[in-house]
Amino acid sequence: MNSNQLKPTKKTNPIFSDFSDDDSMGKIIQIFLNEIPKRIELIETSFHSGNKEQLCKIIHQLKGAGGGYGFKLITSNAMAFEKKIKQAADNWQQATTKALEEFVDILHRAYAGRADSGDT
Amino acid sequence: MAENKSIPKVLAIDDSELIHRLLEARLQGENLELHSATSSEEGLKKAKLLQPEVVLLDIGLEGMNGFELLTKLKEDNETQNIAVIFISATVEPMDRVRGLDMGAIDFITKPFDALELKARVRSALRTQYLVKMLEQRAQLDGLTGLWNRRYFDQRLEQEISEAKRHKRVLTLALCDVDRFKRLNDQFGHPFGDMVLEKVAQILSGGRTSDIVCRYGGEEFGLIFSSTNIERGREVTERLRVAIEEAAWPGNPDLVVTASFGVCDTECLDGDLTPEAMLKAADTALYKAKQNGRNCVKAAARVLKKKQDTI
Repeated sequence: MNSNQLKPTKKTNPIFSDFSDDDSMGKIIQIFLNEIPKRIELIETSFHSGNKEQLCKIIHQLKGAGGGYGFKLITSNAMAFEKKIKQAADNWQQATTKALEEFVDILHRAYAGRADSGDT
Repeated sequence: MAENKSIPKVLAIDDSELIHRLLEARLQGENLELHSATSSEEGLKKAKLLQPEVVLLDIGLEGMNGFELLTKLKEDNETQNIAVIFISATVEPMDRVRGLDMGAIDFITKPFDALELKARVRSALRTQYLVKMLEQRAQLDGLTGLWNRRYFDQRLEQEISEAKRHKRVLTLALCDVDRFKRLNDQFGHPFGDMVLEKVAQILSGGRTSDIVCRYGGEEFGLIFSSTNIERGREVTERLRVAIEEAAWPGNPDLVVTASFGVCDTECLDGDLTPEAMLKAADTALYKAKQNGRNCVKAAARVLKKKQDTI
């Protein structure tokens, strides 16, 4: 992880999938959650390096998939983040820092809610 | 002819592994075979190869986007009848309108509801099944259950095109029931229909790869892929004998016979076309009739003749 990487902004309050009780989803939800750190790293690297295209791609994918894995908050936050990036002009990083923080925070909260996180 | 009851195929084209995993989990237990492609190029290749009933297509693909890929699918004869459902995170009404106007049959918004996804895929598969069944029925002969003339014409053109492309030999046979008018007049039209049904049954009892069609009236067309005229002649001779030996209920002494004219792609002098092959087979059939009927006559091999004259 690089020095620019965001940490959870407050004591992590986990969120859980709406489909936690669905046996057919358990395995893929776990894979989705385990991959969250990798995605956060990609989001932050793209953001700080100014790679808008790469950033938009991953946010768009999470927007489409989040709710499908039972995390509506991921979809709604991704949608808001994506909209802000599209609306922003040349200074898009400055204009979307808060949206980035909020989105990454949601991802951290989802990750904190995974089965083997130790949180109860 | 049995209708196709194989498990329908669904091809998902999306660049996100997250979506592929989700589709796999959500469509598990449905009566379908799910395939995946993670790029538009891979999707196009798999659509041609697998011939799926339904494609679930993402709009925001890199390179060729979903709309461009849909255009490619609709332009190609091999893929134009595949039902395409857009599956996208876009909520723009104009994207939906554009997709539907371009030939997509439905639109599913990501993130999708599992029950809605299944219902929409099932609905698309049901429609595809009915369309294919109607297409197939429109190409069948009502009396004999064989392929009809419309199918024969299309298939002969396809087979000739394949034979040219792969430099393969192709044999065509025409079969005509001898003195059929006399049978109709003597025993009545219901008996004539029974003769046609029986002959059709015998002709379609040959090799499974052979394409047997009712060409019209008491005439039948047989297409033998990757088969030369010698082998085609052997096959038709067996069929001729089987027709001659068939028993006719209520008429134990009756012998029904048929004549055959056979040609292959090397019998043609000029361009290899369906019309030229039909003409060569018809000429051979005419010779069989002239020769006393109940026989197989093959067209002469043009190449052999040319070599002989050298």
